[in-house]
Amino acid sequence: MKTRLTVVLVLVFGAARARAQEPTIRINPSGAELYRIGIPGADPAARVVANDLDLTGFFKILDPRAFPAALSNEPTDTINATNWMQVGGQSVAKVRTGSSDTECRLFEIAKGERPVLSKRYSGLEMRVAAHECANDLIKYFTGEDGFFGTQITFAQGGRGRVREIMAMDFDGANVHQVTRMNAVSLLPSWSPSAREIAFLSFVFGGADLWIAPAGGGRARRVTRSQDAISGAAWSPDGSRLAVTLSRGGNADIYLVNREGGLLRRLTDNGAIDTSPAWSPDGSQIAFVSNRLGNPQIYLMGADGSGARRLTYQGTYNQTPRWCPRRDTPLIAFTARDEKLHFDLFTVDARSGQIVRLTQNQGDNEDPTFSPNCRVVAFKSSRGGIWILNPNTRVEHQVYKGAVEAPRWGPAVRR
Amino acid sequence: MASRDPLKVGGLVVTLALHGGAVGLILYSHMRPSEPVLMPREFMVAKIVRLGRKRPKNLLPTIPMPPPEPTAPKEAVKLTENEAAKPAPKTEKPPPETKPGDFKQALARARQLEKLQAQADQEGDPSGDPSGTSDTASAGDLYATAIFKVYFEQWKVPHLASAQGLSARARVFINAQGNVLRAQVVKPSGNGPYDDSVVEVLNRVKKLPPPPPGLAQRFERSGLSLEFVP
Repeated sequence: MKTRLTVVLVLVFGAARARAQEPTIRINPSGAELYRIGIPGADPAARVVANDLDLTGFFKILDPRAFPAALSNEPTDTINATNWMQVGGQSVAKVRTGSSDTECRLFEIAKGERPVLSKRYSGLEMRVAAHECANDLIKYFTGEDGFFGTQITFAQGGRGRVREIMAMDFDGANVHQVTRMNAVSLLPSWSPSAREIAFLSFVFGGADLWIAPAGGGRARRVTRSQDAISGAAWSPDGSRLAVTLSRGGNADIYLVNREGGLLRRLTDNGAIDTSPAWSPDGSQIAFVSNRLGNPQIYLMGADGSGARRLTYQGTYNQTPRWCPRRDTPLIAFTARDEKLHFDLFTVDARSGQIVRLTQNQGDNEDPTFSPNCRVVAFKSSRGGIWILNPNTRVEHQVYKGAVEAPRWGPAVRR
Repeated sequence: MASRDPLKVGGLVVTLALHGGAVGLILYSHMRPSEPVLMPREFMVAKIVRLGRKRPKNLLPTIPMPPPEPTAPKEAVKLTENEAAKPAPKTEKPPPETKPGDFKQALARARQLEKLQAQADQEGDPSGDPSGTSDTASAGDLYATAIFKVYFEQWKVPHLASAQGLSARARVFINAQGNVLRAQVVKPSGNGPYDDSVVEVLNRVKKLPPPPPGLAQRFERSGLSLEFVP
């Protein structure tokens, strides 16, 4: 009996081993392409989802006007895979707004005519439900959280004597005024909870740090020294802010608490140290310093220790912004190239490797990562705020007005 | 005893001359500088790109851009209105007179050229890189390379699923002529867009190079294992 068992085991494992060692040809792709998805129907929620996916720069949204009637009038719970294949689709998303809810279904054409994802959102306003649907689609495709439903804040641009802090949905909808300071207000910064925005304002002549509710409301003055010279950067736990103060005529970076109480001086250098930006784990701060001549990006510990130069290319590097993901040690920044154009770059915080994101498209400044770091929003001399997918180089303009210092808000789970 | 045999003397002289010659040849060959010995080695195919001058290290990087497409000039060149400045009209030369023998010579030359062309065509592997030479070839499984080439050229992975670490295994069944009888994913990566792109390329490829003799039956019965990796 034992012998027979051994023989069977040897045969089984022997066969499995032979199969595992079978010669296999490894195939690599010759390139990458956008993922083709059809989102039929004139339902407003469907159009919001289509726009959301388009803005990611990962999708080619098939033009619904090119769909034959057979596809446009399909029932929402199934698809004709052959017909969709003929119009070049790889997936189909169907979104329908009902009287009290919104349905969201995803079909992968290669997997047949049944939905691979089916969701229903009740009690949500149409745009909110559509963003949730887009988030679920991205989660299905990539396993990552989407950024749909997040907001971008910015300061009004131009040369007006009154420039308020504004905010809008990331896709440019719902633009609204956050502050009513009736003064020049600059450099907004989201709190990690996305409930508050810190900013600089010249209400009393000099620059002070203020904090306002993100939804609008009465702003609170945080510093009274009138020597703040750059916007604040919230620590990831929301308890502290790193801010540049000009004390005794020299700009250095300090830590203050939410009430403006001075906690610690982080840099003590005769040069200008400014533009602090926290790493997502709160252990490091990136900043700009001209201590060796030109403005370059530096890194230091959150207590100010171990400052080291990070960028060695370019002669005018500024506005460092960390990718908010802990697994991606990337800092986006603005740099002026040898042709005197301002463009966007990223630098790996570990290796120091610099990658260029924009080129030959006017001046592009002030990058800010989406919460999942897949795209970057920035201000452009082409006008307003743009969103760029650095991977596919697809970019879209989401706001046309004059702006300064856009900042992408954190994703807050509902 | 005193008399010497002239034959013996002659033989001795010849023997000495031959030995001397042999010794001289050996000495001469040792005196010549030795030629370098060519060791067999594997040649690697280099990919050379034209980047112009190397970019100084202190400058910011640039995004490589393809060279601009050549375009026609906006305005065609204007011919002068001055009649005198215009080139003289071309007069067509009459065709040379032909003799019956010329045709025979031309035919013989054409045949010779055809023969040379046929010899040139035989050189190298018919499925090889037309820009390559025997020096640039590398050792490997030619059939596997041909299969790789077919799928490589047609497979594009979605940016959406460009994350590293994905892998999908497939099995392709082909007959002796190389026609794809059946192709299926046997182990998907789990990422929808990635697997869709693999299914798409499997459905698209209908014809592969005919399998080498001896393997046709096996590929038709058990299939060929492919792994799609980014």
